[in-house]
Amino acid sequence: MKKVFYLFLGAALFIAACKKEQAFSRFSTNLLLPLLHTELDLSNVISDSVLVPDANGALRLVTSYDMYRGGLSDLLAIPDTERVNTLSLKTLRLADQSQTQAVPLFLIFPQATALNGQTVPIPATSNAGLGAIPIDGADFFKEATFNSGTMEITITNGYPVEISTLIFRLSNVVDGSIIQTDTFINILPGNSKTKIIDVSGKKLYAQMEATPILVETAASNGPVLVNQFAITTINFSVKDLKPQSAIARFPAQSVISADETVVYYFGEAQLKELKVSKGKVSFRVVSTIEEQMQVDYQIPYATRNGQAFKQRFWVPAAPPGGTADFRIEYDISGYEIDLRGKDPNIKDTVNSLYNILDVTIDSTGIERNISLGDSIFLYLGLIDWEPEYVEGYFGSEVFEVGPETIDVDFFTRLKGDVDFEDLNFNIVLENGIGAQAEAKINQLTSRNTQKGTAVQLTGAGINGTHILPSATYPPLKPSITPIPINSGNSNIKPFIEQLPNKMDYHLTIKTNPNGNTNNFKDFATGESEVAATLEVDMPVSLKTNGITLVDTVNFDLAAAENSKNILEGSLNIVADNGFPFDVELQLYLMDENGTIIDSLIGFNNNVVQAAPADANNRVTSPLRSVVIAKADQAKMAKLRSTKKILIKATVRTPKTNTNYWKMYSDYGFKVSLTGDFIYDQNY
Amino acid sequence: MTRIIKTFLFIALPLSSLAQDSLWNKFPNFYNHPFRSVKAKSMVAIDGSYCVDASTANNALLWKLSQRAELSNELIAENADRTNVKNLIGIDSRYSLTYLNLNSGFMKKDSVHYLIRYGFHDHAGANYSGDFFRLVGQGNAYFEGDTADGNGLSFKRSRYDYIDFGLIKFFPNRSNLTVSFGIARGIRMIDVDGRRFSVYTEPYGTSTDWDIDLTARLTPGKEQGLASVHGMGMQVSAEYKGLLGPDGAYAVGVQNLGFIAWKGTQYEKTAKFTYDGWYVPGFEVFQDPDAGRNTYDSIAAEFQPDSIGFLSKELLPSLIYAEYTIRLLGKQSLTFRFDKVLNTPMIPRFSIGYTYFFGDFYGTSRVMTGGYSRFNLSQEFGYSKGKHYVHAMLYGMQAWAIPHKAGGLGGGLGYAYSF
Repeated sequence: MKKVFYLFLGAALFIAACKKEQAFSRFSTNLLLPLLHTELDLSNVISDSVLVPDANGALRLVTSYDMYRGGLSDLLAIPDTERVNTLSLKTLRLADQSQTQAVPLFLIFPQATALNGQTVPIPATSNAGLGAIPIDGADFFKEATFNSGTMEITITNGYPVEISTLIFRLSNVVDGSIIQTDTFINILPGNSKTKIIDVSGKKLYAQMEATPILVETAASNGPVLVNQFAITTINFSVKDLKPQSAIARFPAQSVISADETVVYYFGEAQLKELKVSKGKVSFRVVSTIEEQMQVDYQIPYATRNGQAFKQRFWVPAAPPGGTADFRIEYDISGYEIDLRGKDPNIKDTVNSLYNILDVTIDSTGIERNISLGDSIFLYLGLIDWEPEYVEGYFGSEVFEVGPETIDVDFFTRLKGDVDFEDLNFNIVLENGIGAQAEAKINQLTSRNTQKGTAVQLTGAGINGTHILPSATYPPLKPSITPIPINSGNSNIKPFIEQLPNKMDYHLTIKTNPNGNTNNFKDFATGESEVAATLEVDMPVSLKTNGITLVDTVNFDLAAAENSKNILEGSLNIVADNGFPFDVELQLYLMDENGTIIDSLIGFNNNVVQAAPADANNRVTSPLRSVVIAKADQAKMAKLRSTKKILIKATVRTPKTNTNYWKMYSDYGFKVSLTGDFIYDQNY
Repeated sequence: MTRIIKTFLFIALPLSSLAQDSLWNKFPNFYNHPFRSVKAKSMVAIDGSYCVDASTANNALLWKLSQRAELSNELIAENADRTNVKNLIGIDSRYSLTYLNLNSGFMKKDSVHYLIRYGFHDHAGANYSGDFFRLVGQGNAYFEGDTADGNGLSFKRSRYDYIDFGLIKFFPNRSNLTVSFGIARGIRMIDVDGRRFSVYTEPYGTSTDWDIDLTARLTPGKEQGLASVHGMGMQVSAEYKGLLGPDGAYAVGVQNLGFIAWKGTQYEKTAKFTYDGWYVPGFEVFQDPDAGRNTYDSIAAEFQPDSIGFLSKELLPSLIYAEYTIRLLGKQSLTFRFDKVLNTPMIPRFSIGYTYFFGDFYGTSRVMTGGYSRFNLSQEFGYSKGKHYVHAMLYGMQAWAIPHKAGGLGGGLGYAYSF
């Protein structure tokens, strides 16, 4: 039984181990594979957008090239400017304040302590060398040097006897300097007397003292009730303090108030009105003032929606001994600015920007060190201003346009000889500015850089100056001045038929050649342009002895995973020629270095026949030609090594018919490259 | 080793598998006559078969396909000419090793015995159009200016093995019922449903129009060794053989009825598109030094199907059959049989078999129609001596004789040792 079991198990494993999947047979099959296709019509060699069919489908070449096109910003540049105003503090002031000190009777009449409460006669006294009475002026300032201001000392006699003489000295505790020495006399009991001290030019500190040098009292008139605590008050008050400099808690106050008219320069233009399309006003404030400032800036004659340009911002306090540097920008887009100055009714000027500046400091309750020597540097900038509308006199200015070179691309892909039947060009001068101008074409040269040829346009058609009348507004209507160029008035044929890819030009445009005839009413808007355009409108009717289209395309058959299974076959170049021209076609195989390693088409069968045409030289139907390139195994090996294919097509009008051939919109040349391959199906 | 075994099985000793691998011929006393009652002993039996059928493909092609030989263009063309609108082709290979314990009763019941079986089954069936055959075999060049209509393509393949345990119940009149049950291991599964698959090729191949609506579910093609497991499932087999008096018998049964939960990748491509190669917009594109670099990427993108992993339970290609046998002239019999492999493109098959005995030999000649073929002849021989029994079958005899006119080949081999 066990034997049987092991036999069963062993045999089962053997069978399972031998089970392999049946592979498929090998065979070859015939695949017809599209590889690439393209459609070539005139739009491929002449830019699509410039070919316009007429009612019969015949194509016209319609295009235009801007040789020059300048807008308002090109003609009138508002340079970025930054003007610096150095503004000093005109005034500083400190708040009015007062303080009172009390002197009890026993200080000057020591016996009052013993006699307190008794009614006795008091004799006359004379005291010298009494102690100083401190005055704490910290509430006034920490220290200050004043240009003007007063300190008032008022003594109110609260003793029962007359103060006959009081000589006192007011001095700074810090340096002992004497501020004032003065004398009060005959202050009867219950009466007051005041002394006013002018502090102009004096430096005061917060800690002061009043020293009584001599205090004399008269004898009482008979017995009087003695109150040792009877007090005489000394009141100190400061008023109208205007310091040169001070360390103090400054109250809120205006420190700068200025208005001025700034004149800007826009070349020769003298503008009275400017509307800003976009732009910014920038402020930079450099300040030594150790207090936060509020800055109010306005341009009263810059308005938008009836509102003047007005901005308020705050400049932080400068650090002690340092400076604060603060910047901010404001958009001024859309503002209309009257540039005629502060009061045009009194003085009507140009290019003048009137603006107002107010600077106030805030009261923070913090001691600050401020002096009239502190200053503010205000940098006011006009940044990236672009005008939307300007009015004034633009001056008689000459603009040199060029010498410049532009690319001309509608013939770029054409190589060979082309003979056009008719050529009609216009050089169109456009003036979108409300001022007369004149233009002169100094040079217009076409170049074919690949041929190395150049032709300068000459002839009566372009010589001399050309007047550009003023545009009108509103609405803006530019003046158009066409200068026709044709075979009759110029050498336009060789100019064009060399198939240029570059064009050099040099123009001169002069504004207001006759001066300020508009009396400051020249204008320009954001849409205003001055342009010189080369316009083309000509029938595409031509003959050629050979236009060659040459180029390369990447081709990497080896990158296709199964391409190795292609044994051999042939390549079909299937061409549906809708042109009445024969096309010589050749495809060259190139390696990764661009070296030609083979060609696909034999030289004796590389012509794609022209489509048949009727009596009017109009193609009746496209003609299909199939050029078959054999690809044996050797050729396939080269095909797999190919990294690029060079395609060369040469188009010729029939030599048997030397007429010009009109091109129609339905003319086209379709090319497909297909592979008819023997494919090894090796699964 | 595979080729040796395959050749051996294919040429030398065939055994009818689709019809003749039932216990009917082994038990009881199979070589004398099904109606004779000599109880057999326990045995170990090994059987194998490999059959290829085709409704239109000829044997010349089937043989080369089975040998993975190179197919000539002439052979492909010859078979392409034989195709109809719809064509079938099927390959079925089965191997089994069975241990039957008939010497003792199961669970002390004399009428019940058990069996243990390891089996392998690989079934592939395809339904394809004539255009599809030409498209694959001769390429789209054949259809230049025309459409290759490959719609309705289907291809199913299941490759699995199983091990099961079964019981045999004998009834007093020697009728018996066998039921076995076991697990199945999935090795390879392919299910292609090409609802739409047509290609139009312009003259000179300047353009191709594709209409594809195809789903393909595949298990990895390169992982089919002993340890490959791409699904697990269960299967059951059952058959009942009954006697209808002294001159008649019948049998009905099903083999490998069950499922495997397959794990693989499902590819979907539903698109109508035109592929006409790389479009060069105009000569201006040539100015671009990178032009053409992505040519082949774009081709791949056109044909790239969507793919997603799948796990799905699929029914196994289960064989069902029913047959009726009548005695003829004492030692001869005539059997009428119907069978079909479920869940495949196979259509029902009918056969008539004539069995005759002489000495220790017997022979069965069978004519069949349906299934994957239109007509098929097979011949089976058996020989028994002592404890040894061997039998062989040659399948598709008519196609062996005229390989360019008919299709169907294969055979089977079996050996049993009694003890």
